Amino acid sequence: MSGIIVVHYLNQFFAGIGGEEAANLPIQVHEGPTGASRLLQNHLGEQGRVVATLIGGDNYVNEHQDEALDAVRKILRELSPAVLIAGPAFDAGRYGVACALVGHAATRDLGIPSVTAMFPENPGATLTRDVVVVPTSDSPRDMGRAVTELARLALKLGTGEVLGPASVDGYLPRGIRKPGVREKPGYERALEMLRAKLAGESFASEMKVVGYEPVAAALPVKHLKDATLALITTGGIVPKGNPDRLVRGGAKEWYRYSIEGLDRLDATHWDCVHRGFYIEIVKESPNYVLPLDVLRQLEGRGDVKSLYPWFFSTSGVGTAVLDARRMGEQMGSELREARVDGALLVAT
Amino acid sequence: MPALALNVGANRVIKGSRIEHVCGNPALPPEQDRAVGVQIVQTALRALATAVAEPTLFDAGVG
Amino acid sequence: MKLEIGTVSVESVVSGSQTRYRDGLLEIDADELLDLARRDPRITRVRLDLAHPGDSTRIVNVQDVIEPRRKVEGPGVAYPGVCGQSTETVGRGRTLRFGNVGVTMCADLLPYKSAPFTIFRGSVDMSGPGATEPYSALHHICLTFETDDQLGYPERNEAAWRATFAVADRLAQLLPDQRPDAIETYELAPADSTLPRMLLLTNIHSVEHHSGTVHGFGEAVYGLSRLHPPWLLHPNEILDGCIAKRNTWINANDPFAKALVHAHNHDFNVLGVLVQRTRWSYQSEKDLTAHQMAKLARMLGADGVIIASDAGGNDFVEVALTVRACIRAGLQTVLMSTEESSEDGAKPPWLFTIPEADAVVSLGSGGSAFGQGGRVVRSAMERAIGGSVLYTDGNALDGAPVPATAEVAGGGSTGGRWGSGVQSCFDY
Repeated sequence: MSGIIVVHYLNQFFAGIGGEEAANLPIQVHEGPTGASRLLQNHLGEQGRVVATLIGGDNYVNEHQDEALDAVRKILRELSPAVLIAGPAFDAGRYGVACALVGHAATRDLGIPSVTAMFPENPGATLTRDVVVVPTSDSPRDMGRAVTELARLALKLGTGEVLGPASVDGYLPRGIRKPGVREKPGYERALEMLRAKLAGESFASEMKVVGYEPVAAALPVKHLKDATLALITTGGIVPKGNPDRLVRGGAKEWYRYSIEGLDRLDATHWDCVHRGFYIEIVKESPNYVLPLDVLRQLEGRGDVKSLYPWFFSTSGVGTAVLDARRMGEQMGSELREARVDGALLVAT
Repeated sequence: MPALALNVGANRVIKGSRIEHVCGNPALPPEQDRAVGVQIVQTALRALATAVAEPTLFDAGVG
Repeated sequence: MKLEIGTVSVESVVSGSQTRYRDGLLEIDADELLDLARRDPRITRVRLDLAHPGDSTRIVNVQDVIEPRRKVEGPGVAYPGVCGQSTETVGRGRTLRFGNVGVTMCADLLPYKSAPFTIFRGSVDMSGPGATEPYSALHHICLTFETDDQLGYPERNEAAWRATFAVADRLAQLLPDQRPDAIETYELAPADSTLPRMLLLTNIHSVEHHSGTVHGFGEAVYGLSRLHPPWLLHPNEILDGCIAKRNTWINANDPFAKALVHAHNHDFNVLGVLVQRTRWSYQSEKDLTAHQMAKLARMLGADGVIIASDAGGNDFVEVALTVRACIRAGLQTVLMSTEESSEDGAKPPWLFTIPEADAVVSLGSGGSAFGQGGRVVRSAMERAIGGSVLYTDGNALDGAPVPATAEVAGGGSTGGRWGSGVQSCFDY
């Protein structure tokens, strides 16, 4: 038989082993297609060969993720498929999550492209952007169409073809946006979209709005009077002359400057580098975005025990999210090691 | 811009005065300017000592 | 309110002994125009150069392109309110324009102190992959200015713009004697009452925040560039030049305003255009302007709105809050906006997330100085007008200058808040 090498992941039910009572099944390999993967093989035809069916009990994979994924990775390393297909899971939540986890392990850890299919509201649908997810209805009655789409996309991914936009290639958007060209100018599209909206007709928004990932809140500082606090600013405060050459925006670096023995920041020794706001006021009095004067006063009164002897500074405008995340992790890591209890970040 | 900070997911957000002078108000006489800064920083300290479950705005009540 | 715009086509522009127009040929007396441009003592030096579509020429330090226009019937003047002109309401009568030509202001001049070297400054490739409509298709009469550096930025900018408008005006004096090659009529006639009512809400950055003064020089509505509560404009006012000073050409030829007039009494009853200024300094001010925009739209009787933006930075906060306020006020809302570069999915498309925005037209993420979408390589040019360097990075302390004629990556326009571009972004 010809075609690219494919591995198909199924749960215990779709592999034909059993229902809920078999949900604790550890990872198994079956040579060639079995259960629902026979249907997949039909759709792949000569272009793809299901060399193995990977099977996992839904409970097992969800409750023993580390062991399950270790086993998956080991098997996939041996089989070395061109693509991993998982599901379809429809609206089965544990199965959908398992498909996403298995796909993520294949792609993120082994570089094997992966594709799955499930109902968009399945919790597995938004778990990871490493796996391509084909949207299905909530019921296995959609099996035929789902498997057709899985096969089509799997062949594309497995042969190294570039995926088109989500709306064109029929998968759920993953929060990755790329430039492209539309047929008509923006104002025409806007007028047409409003017309359709007002008429109650369907329309396709050109963006699936994605927000920022939530961050768990840190526990509160128990006793401020015993606390050491650090000062951070994204207002771009630097020593006069900008010795570290902090840029005005798109910063990839942050710098620490000593405040030991200083009661306040003055305009003679300090400056401001930032393209995103009117900086003349802060140049004259840097304390407006790094309130050292106030904090020294409160330190003197005993409201806090002490200040960390350096403040951290960068220019927070046009910062790439990845850089911001890295800088935050670096700052947090230093402060944590220094046993600082809390930090004030002043943003403009 | 507290709305932006909350939107981004910062959990303890203190409302400052204005973008150009977050911790104070140079339009006021020096003592009052300083008092604004103190109020804002003290509100920040209070926020540090407060348990929060999600992005929360703390208002110092001064401009 | 009916406006006729008559176009007198310009096929070629040459330097000659007199300033005159005949049969598509615009001849200019360069000395005459230079004398006019030099009159203001705040200007220390001017030079005049011509650039034509297809030339191997790059025009750098472009601060504005101004189309010569003249009102021949009806109240007001072309470009009302700018540089001391009458602020009388425009938008009716007849206005003549020279088509295919612009008087282009070039200056290595910051808009305000400490501004990045790239901000608001454009460059135009007259040929090659970097050539884009509309500017690469115009004949440019370029004025390159140097101004007295002892003066403040608002004054220096004012002086250079005043001189450029004066030259455009001098050319416009030729118009009343010509017969237009084409006339377009704009009118919002009484509409079919069953049609849904809509407004365009557009957002214009104000330089007030960054310049620290209400007199900061920037894109102006009837000459005002300061932060102010929303204006209600008739599309005709925009097509008659009431938004000017930076982007003057595209504002006076606003394709969105034209499209609104054409859509009126077909798909919609167009009520007008609300202009919001952005980059307020206080959170409360940003909230206020957004609430008022939604309220005004409601009071005017709108069923739906399109919110247009090419805002970057914290200007986008006002836009986002306006979208939210309009949706909460029960208006069917479409947002047409540029977006930030995705960084392969690490970055959300907007600085401020609006989960409730379910109808979005994306203008893409390229075009701005800091965007990364739609990059082209602009080939090297033989000649540069307007300066000897091109600044390529607003984040860099020195603006990262390269020789003005060099091959350079980047460019390509999103088409801005006028929505004239086809650039966009797609979900992957």
